[in-house]
Amino acid sequence: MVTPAEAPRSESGLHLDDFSLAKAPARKQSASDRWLKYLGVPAAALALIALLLMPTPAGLTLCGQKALALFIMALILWVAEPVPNYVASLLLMVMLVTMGVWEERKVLGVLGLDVIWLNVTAFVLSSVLVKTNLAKRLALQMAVKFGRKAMPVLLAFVALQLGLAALVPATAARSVMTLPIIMIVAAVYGSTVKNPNNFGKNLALLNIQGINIFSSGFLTGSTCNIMAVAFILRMTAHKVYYSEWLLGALPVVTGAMLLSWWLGPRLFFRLAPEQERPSVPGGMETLTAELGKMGAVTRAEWHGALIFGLVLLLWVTDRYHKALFGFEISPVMAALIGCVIALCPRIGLLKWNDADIPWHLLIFSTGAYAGGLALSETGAAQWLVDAVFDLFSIKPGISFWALYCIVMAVSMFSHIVFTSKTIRTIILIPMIIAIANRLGFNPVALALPAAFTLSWVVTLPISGKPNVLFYGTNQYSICDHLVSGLAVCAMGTALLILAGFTLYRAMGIVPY
Amino acid sequence: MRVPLKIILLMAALSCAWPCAGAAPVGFTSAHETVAIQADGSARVRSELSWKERDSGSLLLPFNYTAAENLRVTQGEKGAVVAARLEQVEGMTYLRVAAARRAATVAAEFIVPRYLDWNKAGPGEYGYYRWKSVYRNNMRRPIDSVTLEIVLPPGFIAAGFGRSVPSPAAEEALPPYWVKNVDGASHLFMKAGDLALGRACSLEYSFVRRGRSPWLPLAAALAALLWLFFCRDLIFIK
Repeated sequence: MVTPAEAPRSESGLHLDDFSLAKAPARKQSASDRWLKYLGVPAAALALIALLLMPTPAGLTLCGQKALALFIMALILWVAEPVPNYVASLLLMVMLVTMGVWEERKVLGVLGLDVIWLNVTAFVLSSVLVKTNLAKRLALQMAVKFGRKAMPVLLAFVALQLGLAALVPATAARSVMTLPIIMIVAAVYGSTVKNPNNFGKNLALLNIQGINIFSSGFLTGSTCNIMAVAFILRMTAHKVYYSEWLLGALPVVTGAMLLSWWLGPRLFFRLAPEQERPSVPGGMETLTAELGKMGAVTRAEWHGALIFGLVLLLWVTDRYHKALFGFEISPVMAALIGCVIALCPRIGLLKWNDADIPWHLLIFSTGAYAGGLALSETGAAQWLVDAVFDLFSIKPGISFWALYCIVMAVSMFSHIVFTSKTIRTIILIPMIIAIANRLGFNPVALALPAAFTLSWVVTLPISGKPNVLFYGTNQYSICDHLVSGLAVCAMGTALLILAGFTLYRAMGIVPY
Repeated sequence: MRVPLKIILLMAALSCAWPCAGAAPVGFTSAHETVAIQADGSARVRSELSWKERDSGSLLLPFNYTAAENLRVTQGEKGAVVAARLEQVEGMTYLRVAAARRAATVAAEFIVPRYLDWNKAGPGEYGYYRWKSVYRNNMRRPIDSVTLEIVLPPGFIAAGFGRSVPSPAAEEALPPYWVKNVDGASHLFMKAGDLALGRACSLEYSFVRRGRSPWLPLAAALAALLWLFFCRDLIFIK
């Protein structure tokens, strides 16, 4: 059996070292990055001062106001990056406690949340795929088949994520499956952890969007979809069928993903000519040769596939666990089972030092989640949504289409202040139904299209589990993520409004 | 919430040996109690109860305090004053009200002299005062919906919430409490449904004196200025 350590160092430049995430990398700074960095601290301080000194709004506690001020301050620091993002997160955690916003045990307890553990286990499982060369094989196959030019390979990933979303409901599972492949394909196009380029940026961000947004295409794609449908049924007596959801949501998400695929490399993160083709010496021939050199699938690869396959099986069969075992194995526990096997001497594949866990990313995530959860727990997130609706002065007499546009925009962008899709669903959907009832509109006409936006959590690394995982690849900054996320959400809102005038009318969801 | 066994036994005994034949059983649809805490620790309380139907006779209403001053009870929409008095039954205090049969609501207004003990409340860490308000249904009939409204003393603002009964139904469900800052006063609300015999709803909350400490804004401003000065090389790198 050829172990990863014995594997020959590739001549193509696809070294395993290129994919190490454990060490916090440094990015090259452009002039605008340096300005952003320079102005980041004063901007964050100014936001903090302004939000702390303003009179406490009507529906907010003092802790809620402080939580909001600290979250905005941290958000500016994460985006501008005057200090590393894990420092900003640690600062946020310290300030949450010392300013009496959230209890110390709660802040520290965030490191034990399932989402953080899922990250740890996901990185261990990704290490299995990388160390056994299985990820390299899959990536090379993909690159050889679709990778002569950048755009087809990006499109292939969009198609891959669409297919996976229909089969695997868990976004974390889809992320873990595709993350190592993405890293290697990015490296084929010259974008490594140490030297990322715009191809890697486009590839990683497009996959984040694909993983999250395609969950919205299928009723079973996310728990929040099912919750939203349950709210609609309970509060309006309208049953949303799988087919109705599919017909209403899938065209919009597919349209948005295609737009993002088309516009991303052309408008937001333009590909340089050298990034349009594989940048390994010798081009496609080298990649074909490299794949040929790998020979037949090794025992280590089969072994890795078996461990990963077991975890995947547990993930996709979660709804049958109770019938089979008498209890349900959560996604985190399934991943932990995989880690136990992968790290176990003799039956496993990895030693602890092989597990590539980016602790700087986990610290960043912990602080960011602490900030997000403090926003939710102090009621600040809900207050923000209420305030935005109030801002538009929604009163009787407003036209349906004006209200429809407001509701779509608020539902789409509200994920920026929520770390939990479930909480957002609980707050938004009943609120929208209540507003529609109050104004005499069919509540389904607003609540169902709003429910289609619940999985569009693509703006910040903490907006969704896949986002945190992908952020660790160092292919893009938080600012890039924000720009691309806001753009795709704007496109999504426009498409939902367009669908409202056309498709949803034809389907009878909205009135003529 | 677990109800102490003593209270359950007491309620059971109470329901068997109801003291007055005239005090007919009443099914309450809603209760709304507003507790406006004053600077001296006393509280102005307004307790409203509504029902859909009831038999004739006087009412025994829940009373959750040890003493009341300036008691005034009104009934119906017009607010006609009716006779009322505090009464001890089996060691528990009730408010006996001679409400008319047709009335659908009664509202009791009174002052509780020592509602908030300032020494016990704080100030603790961060200058926060902490207190707990409770509404217990010591009637033998359930109340369909209870809203507890606490108005904080003048000059104070709600800092946050602690434990509540009922607690949020699930880890990711919305809490049953909220705040409204109206006309310079912080109103805390708590909602509970179907409050059965002996059950209570309660809310722990913290509040703090209005006014902002200047230290944090000053520190933030200073940090920003120091950053602008000492990190100016960031924009002059060639």
